[in-house]
Amino acid sequence: MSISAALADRPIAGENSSVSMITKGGLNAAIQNLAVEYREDGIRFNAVAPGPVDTPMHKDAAKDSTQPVIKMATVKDVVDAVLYLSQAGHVSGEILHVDGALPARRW
Amino acid sequence: MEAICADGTKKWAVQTVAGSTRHDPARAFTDGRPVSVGVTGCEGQRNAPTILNSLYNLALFWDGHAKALEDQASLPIINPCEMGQPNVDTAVAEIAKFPEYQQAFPKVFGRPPNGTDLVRAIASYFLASLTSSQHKEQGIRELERQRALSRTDRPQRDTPRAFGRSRCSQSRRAIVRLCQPLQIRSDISSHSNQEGCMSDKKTAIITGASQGIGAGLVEGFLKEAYNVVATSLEVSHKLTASPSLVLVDGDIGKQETAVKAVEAAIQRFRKHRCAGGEHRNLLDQTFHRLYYRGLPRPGLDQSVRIPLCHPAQCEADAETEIGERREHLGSAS
Repeated sequence: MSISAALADRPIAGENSSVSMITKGGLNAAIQNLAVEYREDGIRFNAVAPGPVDTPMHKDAAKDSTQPVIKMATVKDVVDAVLYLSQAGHVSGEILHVDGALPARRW
Repeated sequence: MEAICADGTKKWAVQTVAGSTRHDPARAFTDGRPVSVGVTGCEGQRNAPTILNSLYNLALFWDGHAKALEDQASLPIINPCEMGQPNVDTAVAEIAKFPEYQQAFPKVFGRPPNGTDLVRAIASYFLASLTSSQHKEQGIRELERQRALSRTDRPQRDTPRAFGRSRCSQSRRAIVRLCQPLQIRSDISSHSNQEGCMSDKKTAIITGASQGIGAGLVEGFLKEAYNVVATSLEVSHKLTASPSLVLVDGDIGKQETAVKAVEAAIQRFRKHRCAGGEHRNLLDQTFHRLYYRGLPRPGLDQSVRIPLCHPAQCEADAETEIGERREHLGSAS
């Protein structure tokens, strides 16, 4: 199980993350390929791809604004996704986005 | 083995190697001083805690900074204000000068004196140091009670504070079999973690665990009754270890940290897979992996800390253990 980032395949205007998302995008690719390579061994590979999460990393980010608001996920939102994947015995190679349908807002 | 464990180790650990009478049997395995004095006359910051009933401790030393009996055995050797050796190897070289140890080490461990076996022998001596046979019986009853609870709805930390003076490192776990002085443990650092080993919990290794999503994952997996190995640069400063939570400080970008995390998971939470059949329901599954008999066993890689007993030996041990428990329980009641 890996923690990826929603920005890897769902970029947002104003978030210039092209370089940092190289690794996250690569991680997603590795997860999906490893899931296939180790399928016969019963080993599952999944990733959770959160959008902005209310953590110390984003402590200075505005949580309310007159601008289009990106509602931050909580740590619990991410944990819930990880726990789901850890117990979902037939789910493998999945990149589970936890971003509140961020792209649907089409910034 | 008998020579060292029954007599030689005691003399060696308490008097010769310690370089002092810090754990003098005549003083209840302490030195009787307000603060301990090292080999150079240097006064320490605390008095010497007794080593009696060490096997019940989850953490060791007064402040609990050592998690394994090997640490309690080895750290004073290199502490400049205790035994003052530059390293364990130097202490080994000194020990190797004694003819009795030149003979005893090969007899017990199958090889000349070395640091690993030195620490293991001292730690095993700690394990054999109990206040009375009554505690063994008390421990057996406690163990049986925990077995019964583990099959129903077992509370996390429910056993009574029982043995000796209370302190921060005091634990109340009991593995009675470890009282036997002629058995050398192969996996001493896991002695205090019966909680995870006895259950069918899964284990999660969580990196970046000191804050943010990682810390949340630790909390979430613990709530879901997982065993957790948490690692980050300074995770031990941010989280508190527990029977279900092991903390591994280190940079996960370095392979050694990953190895440590996996080894910690195996050591603390690996399920015993050796004994089978009906005995699995009667015995603590961690029991066999906590020690092994008749060192060394050719062909077995001790570094991976697998259960070291042969299945046939496990079955024999199981029969012996059941008989002994019934006998002890009968005499206690």
